[in-house]
Amino acid sequence: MILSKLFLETEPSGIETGIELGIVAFALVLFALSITAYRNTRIKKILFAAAAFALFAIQLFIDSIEDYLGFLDEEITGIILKLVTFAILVLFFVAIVKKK
Amino acid sequence: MNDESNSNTIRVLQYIQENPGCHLRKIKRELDMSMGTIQYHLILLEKQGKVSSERQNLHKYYFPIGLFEQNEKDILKILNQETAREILLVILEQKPTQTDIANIIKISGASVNWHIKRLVDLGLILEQKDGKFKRYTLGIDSKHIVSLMKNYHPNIWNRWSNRLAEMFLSLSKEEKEQ
Repeated sequence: MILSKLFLETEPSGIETGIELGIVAFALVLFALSITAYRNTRIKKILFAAAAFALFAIQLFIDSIEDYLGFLDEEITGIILKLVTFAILVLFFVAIVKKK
Repeated sequence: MNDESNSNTIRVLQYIQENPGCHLRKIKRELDMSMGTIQYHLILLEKQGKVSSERQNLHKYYFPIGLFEQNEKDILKILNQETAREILLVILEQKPTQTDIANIIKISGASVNWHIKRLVDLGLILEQKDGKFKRYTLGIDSKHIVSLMKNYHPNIWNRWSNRLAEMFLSLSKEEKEQ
């Protein structure tokens, strides 16, 4: 009861920021894990996955600061974020199809 | 150097030769010497070129010179990987082919092939022709491999990164067993 009351009383934007921070942190953990995996194995395709995880964190970071600072045109931000999403998928694709 | 100090240096050296990959606290515990004394003898042995050390995370690991030639660092990297450890254990018990290893550990042929190549390059295992197959045996004394594996464990971070690497290896095209 107390928890649900607390949850309802929390500002929605606060919860959203918390989740966003969690996603960024998780993407950074995956990035660091990929770098360790690359350093231990020297499998180049892992670097593509590492770059994808890093881009994912950057994308969320841009999205978050844009919400707060609004320094870019909304349309331009939208295009940049979609391009980054596309780049992330391309990097994962290359990581899968690339030879060792 | 007096006789007692000399005999302690020999004890430390013998312990490292029998337990390659051991770390400072373990040597202290097993030989029942003070930390300062152990450190003194280890520095001495390193200066004399009889042992080498490698720092990984919180521990410094010691190796007798000559056992693995210049490969200590690479061997530690190998032992950081769960799959390579499992492959070494299979080879320790039998003379498997790559297919045997893949079936026992339940990983892809591409992954087995990749790990085997690294282990052969480092001289940890040897390749022997058996008809149209290749079988694998240990390239160094099994006692040393067991000691290294007992002394040196991958931490949780390395286990996870290894699983990530395995995921990408399993996506690679399967290579035909030689």
